Amino acid sequence: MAATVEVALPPAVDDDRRAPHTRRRRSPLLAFGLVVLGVVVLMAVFAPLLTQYDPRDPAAGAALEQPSARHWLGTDQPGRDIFAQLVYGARASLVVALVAGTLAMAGALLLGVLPALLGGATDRASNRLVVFLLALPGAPLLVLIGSLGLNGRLPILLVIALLGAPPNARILRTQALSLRQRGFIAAAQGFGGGPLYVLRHHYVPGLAPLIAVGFVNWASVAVGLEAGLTFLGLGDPSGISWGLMLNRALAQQSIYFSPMWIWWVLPVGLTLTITLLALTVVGVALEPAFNPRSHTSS
Amino acid sequence: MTEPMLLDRRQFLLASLGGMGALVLGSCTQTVDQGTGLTVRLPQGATGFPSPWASNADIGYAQMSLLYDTLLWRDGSGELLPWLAQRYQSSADHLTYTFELRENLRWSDGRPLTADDVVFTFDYYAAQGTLPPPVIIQPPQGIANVAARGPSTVEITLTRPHNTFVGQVAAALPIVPKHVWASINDPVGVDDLKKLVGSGAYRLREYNGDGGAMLYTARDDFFLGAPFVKRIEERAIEDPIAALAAGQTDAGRGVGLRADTLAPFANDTFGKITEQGASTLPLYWNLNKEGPLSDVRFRRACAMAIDRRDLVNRLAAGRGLPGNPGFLSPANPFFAPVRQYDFDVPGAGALLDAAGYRMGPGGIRQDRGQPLSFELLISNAEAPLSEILVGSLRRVGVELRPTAVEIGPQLFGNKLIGKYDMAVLFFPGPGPGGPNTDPDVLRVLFSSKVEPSLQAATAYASPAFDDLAEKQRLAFDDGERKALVAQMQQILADDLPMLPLFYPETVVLFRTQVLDEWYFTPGQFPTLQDNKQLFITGRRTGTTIRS
Repeated sequence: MAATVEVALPPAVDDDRRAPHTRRRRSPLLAFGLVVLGVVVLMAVFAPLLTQYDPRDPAAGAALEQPSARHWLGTDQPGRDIFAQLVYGARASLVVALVAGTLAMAGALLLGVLPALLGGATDRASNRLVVFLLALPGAPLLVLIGSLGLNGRLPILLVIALLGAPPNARILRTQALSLRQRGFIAAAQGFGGGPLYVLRHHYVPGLAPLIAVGFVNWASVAVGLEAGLTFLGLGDPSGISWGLMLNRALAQQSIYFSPMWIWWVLPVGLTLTITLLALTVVGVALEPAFNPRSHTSS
Repeated sequence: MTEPMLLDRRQFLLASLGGMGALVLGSCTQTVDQGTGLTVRLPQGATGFPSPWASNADIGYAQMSLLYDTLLWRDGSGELLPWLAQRYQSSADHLTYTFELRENLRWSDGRPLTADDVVFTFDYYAAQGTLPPPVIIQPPQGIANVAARGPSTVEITLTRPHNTFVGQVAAALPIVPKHVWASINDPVGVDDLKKLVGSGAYRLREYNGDGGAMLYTARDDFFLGAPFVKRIEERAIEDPIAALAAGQTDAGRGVGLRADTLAPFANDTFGKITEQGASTLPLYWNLNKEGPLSDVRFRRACAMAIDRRDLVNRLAAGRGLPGNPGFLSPANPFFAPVRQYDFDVPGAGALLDAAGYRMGPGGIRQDRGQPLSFELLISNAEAPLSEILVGSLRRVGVELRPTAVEIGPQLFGNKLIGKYDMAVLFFPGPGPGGPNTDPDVLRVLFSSKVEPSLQAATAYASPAFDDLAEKQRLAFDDGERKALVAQMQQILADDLPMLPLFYPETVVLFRTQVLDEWYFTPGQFPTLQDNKQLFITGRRTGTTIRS
């Protein structure tokens, strides 16, 4: 009697999974996000070429000028060029995104990955600290710090980064613990692979996608938080940022009695919204491509 | 199994239409309530607790004054009216004032208001010491004795004659009931509505904490008769002008309003009154600090580097007056021409050069190796002004670092204790109508003999000024006083302990259907906010005070 042997074939390999870079190119969301972010980066880098005005200079024009060839988006109450503020405001948002995102992920590595690899009491203590930090209410904490007068750029950046570290630390810790238990790590160590070798060839490739996604996601949150704080008047009052522009515009008495909101509030609001949307969609688009779960489960 | 339907489609439609109709009818604001009388809605929330010791700033004083009365009060023309006192007389040496109270005055709890309450009020204020800012009414100074000379006669003796006693003490100090406050040691901390027993025309029916909505209702047993306005509703509104246009309030106040903001109100539905010099934004230098801040040449250079007329154009839409180094607004009857420090950037630079402040790295001048870089303490609400000041002084090599804070302890506290380099603080006055019209304000703000206060110049001391300030307070002849006050302004303009930057035009817009006459009260102290007499006597046709 012939025995029937059923052979479980490996699942069909998804092209997207096999070549994430190929899928990234095809994702319209990712393309949209990257194009928008590219424009924002160009605005920030080439700001002095895009406008002749210093965004802080009240002598740029008269008060509350309407859009013209000289001032494309008019001027604010002190007479500063609104377009110049919009262009230079991109710098503030990018700095916040880069610095807060980087610091948050550095903190996440320090609080999540390192203790997970060390294990024992260090891991337990770190885990408790993460739980404590997660319990801190983010937005009220920032408002408190801003209202205490610690509203310089650095304190705000540090607090935003501090808030971003714990949630990302949890994700990275879980992945680090998972990697540590994998057979290939033990095999590599058994074949004489040193700690640096294992780190470079196994932990870094296993964690990097999560770090990238976490960075983009937290950069998006950071830009929103910074804009929100400055909009509330709790950020750096001497800076140039989109949130502060909205704050100044809406502080203008009865701004909606005149059409000035069209060239003052609308461009800033739209730029901020689209930038946040771009960061979010980039994060969303990267997640399936980089998420280790999508490689292991099927 | 299906649930039984409570309403069929037709019933549901009818019920929905009925509900919507009720909502629409309910949302139609009926400001004139035929049944219970007139309601006025004002666009401000509680500013502190409306007791004499916890009501904050000018709005808080106006709210408190609806509950409490003073011996005298000013009407819309600025004339002093008999109020709790039906008459008063002063001695020939202006040292003794005798007030005769009205008969049958009663507190809102029904107990009689007597001379003992007036004596108690003065004694109680004297026992409090300086009240925390921004409470406006402070314990009156220079009172030698207050005594009852009968159940309705009070005699107040001053240590020295003071020409503002009647206007700024008798017509401003709220009289409180002895039977309520005598047992209270900490009046500032009181927040119990039951303690708000007053003689005023209104009762406070609703209070929802500092910043919250308030409801006042008229007292028909008020000693001048039932008030014309029966209900006063107050609630915080961020943009009163927009709220007025939207029908959510009956009056709105603003400063330096743009033409496009005023345009919707140019019709018969709304009335408008304006006032020049009702407020200013003075620039303070902390003279307690050594170095440039206490160097008059530096302060003069700052004055020359700031285009004060341009501030009016940019920040007040051209509606206002540039700041006067002599402090009084050009619209004030005691104004005297003084040196003006016209806008002159090269001249300011030359003055700083001559004073030894040489240009250093980054275009910032230096004083003995230290950059001329100063913190500017300013309210968040004045952010555009701070940006212009930063730019203006940067042009002459002076760096300002704005510390923009919320109006409150951070601003008032730091200014009061002198924890600042330069500061900008709102000042109510000194125009012809409204608070601080009287030139004695110069003594209060600039004399080194007066206790330091929130609005006063920091550490300014000029013996010549102090001497003139004392003389003018003793002068009861207007001509003599004007000459003295003119000299005081000259000294201030020379020394520049403080520079008013500009006086924006103050505008009150109101709904004429509700009340057809609003006014700024000339000489009213301490606030030009809505004079309660307006609500008590009502429309233009009924403005005769019932004495």
